[in-house]
Amino acid sequence: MASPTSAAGAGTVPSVSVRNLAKSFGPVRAVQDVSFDVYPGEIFGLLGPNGSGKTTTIRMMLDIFEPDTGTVQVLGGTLDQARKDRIGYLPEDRGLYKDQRLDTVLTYLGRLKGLDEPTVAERLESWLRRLDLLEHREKKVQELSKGMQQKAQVIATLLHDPDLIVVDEPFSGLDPVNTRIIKEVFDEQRDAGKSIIMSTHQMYQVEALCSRIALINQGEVVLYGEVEEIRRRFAGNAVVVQGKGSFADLSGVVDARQTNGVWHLALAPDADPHEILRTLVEREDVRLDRFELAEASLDDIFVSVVQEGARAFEVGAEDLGLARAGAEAGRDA
Amino acid sequence: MRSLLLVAGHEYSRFVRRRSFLLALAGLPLFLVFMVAAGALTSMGGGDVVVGYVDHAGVLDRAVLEAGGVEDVSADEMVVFETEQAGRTALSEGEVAGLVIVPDGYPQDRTLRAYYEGEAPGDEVWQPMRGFLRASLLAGEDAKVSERVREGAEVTVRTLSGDREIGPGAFLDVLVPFAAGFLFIFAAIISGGYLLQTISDEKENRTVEVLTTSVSSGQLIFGKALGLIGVAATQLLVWGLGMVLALVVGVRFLGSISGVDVPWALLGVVFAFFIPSYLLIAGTMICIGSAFPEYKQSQQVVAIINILFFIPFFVATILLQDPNGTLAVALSFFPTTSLLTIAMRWGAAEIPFWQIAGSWFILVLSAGLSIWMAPRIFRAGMLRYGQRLDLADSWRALRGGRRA
Repeated sequence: MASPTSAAGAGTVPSVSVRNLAKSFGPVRAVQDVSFDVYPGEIFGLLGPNGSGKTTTIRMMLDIFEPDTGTVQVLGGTLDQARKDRIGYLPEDRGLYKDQRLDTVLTYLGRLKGLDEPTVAERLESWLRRLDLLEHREKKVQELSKGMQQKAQVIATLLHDPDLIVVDEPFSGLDPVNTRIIKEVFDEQRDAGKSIIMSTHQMYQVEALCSRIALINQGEVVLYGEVEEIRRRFAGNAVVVQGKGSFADLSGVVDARQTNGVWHLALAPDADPHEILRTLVEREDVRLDRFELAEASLDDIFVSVVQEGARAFEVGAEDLGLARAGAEAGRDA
Repeated sequence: MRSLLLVAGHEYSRFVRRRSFLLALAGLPLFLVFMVAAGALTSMGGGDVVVGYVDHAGVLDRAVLEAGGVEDVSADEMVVFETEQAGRTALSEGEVAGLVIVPDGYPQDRTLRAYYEGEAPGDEVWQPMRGFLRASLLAGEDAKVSERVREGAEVTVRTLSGDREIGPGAFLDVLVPFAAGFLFIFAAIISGGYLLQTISDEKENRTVEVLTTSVSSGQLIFGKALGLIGVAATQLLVWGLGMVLALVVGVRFLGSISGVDVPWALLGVVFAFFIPSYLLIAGTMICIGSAFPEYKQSQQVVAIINILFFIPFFVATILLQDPNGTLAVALSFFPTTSLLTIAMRWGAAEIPFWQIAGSWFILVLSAGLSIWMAPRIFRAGMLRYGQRLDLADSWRALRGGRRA
């Protein structure tokens, strides 16, 4: 198993270190026993289905909520005002004042992060120009399109040049051109040594940007490690099938998608592709023209792990003390 | 402190630029300007009103009128007719606004008859006639006696200790404290309403999530409260200047407001009650805004809370009739009603110092409690989207300190 430090360079001190976080709201256990590390110079994907506890974890990490148990170390210590000023946060829902001018809102948010007015003005102009919002600076936020508001939110997140960037669904509402621009921005930030935690449902963005991920389901980390390593582990957990008939109702298949006559079948973690092939060959209601192992995509892995309730396919986290996750990973393997 | 001031400055500039605020700000001064202008127009327009009279008793002395002996009335405004018929013809043709008949028996029964067409005229017709009649009856009397009779009786009621008195301007003595108390509590309520709105808005549009990663809950909500008390102060300042201006201009036209002194002691007391009252309102609004998922739901609760602050207004008659009665004293000690009650009692009676001090002390304690609760409830409720913070949750938040 690869160690998380290997992804970011041995000996690097993590920017974020989350240990055994748990949080309940009344009888509902939103998060239970979540642990992970995030290092400088990496984009870390925090994944999970809706209501899995991702956002609650982020909020505890940012001291918006206090955890019931567990600890959070951010930028080398507990979160104080000085460390807060080194964090940029882009929430899933756009947190901007709708009734104010764009430049007024961004200046205010920049100043709250400790910048003086001339510095804010200088940086703001540069960011507005880069993200093609300069001519809209005097408009009220509510007059901007959804995509423009999202870009404005990105500016609010990065204006103070933070060391830790936490973004929740950063590509929401963006067209492909702007998505590419924002991805370039994140790449630059990572190359500059910043830590980026990205929470998203867009698995192809995770594959394109993230070096490591943690998948949270029902409040627990069920998958944690380097993306490539996880994909290797899950190789064979999807097959591509072509032929006549329906391939959707096969045992061991957790998700079936048909595109242009080609079926993409995501398999349960314990399903054997050879068994699937044998079943298909024996069935008389289908004709099989093509059957091949698909390269495991994060999308398939996500569906497999979440839908099957597969537990803690943990990769390379032995130094994090995830004993329970490790034990279950061994069982699954 | 820097963050708190930034939040305060942002809230202040955000609200004072709103159209609704500017309308509320200009509303009172414009109303006062309208009132003064109406008074001035009436005063200036008085010269155009012509009144006719028929003097059967021979008591009206035209020589006094022509000699300028009737204040603010010229001879042209009083037209004498030989007969009632001539006077009524002039009235029906609109030459005079009213016709006054002084019957033969006037010296005995002091009764006049008056005629008018259509809608009954007001003081612009009868006031000059009263002045003319009074001046005529006093003609030949000593000047000092005449002046004393014209001014009428002046009764001044003093407290036994001699430090409070109610003089001829008693109406204003009651009205001014009432108005001051009402304006201050009104400004505090409006400002508290803005606070509720901004808390609810930021909760609804999730801005609070970004803000709390930059500043602490305390800096955020107290910064807002500070900014919005600035909004209230601006409102009071503009309204106060408007009133002063109205008094300065109005004194020239409205005799009833001349001689009104600025009640500094009252203003001091009202201001001393205003600050903790505002903090009480601010803390309450923060708790309500944080506890409810939507502004509309919060407003329903706030409507009830606001009534608690205006109870003295609803029982004003009882308070003014018995300003040291049980109800008045009880409302003075109740934190939401103390400001308005003390202000209303101020003009009608002498309030024992211990009652003022005790009332203020209870109010300050309540405000302190409210401000202590506010950040705790805010932190517990700010991210409860679509879910109300119930009493059990609130109690847990209060007992658990900053734990959300």
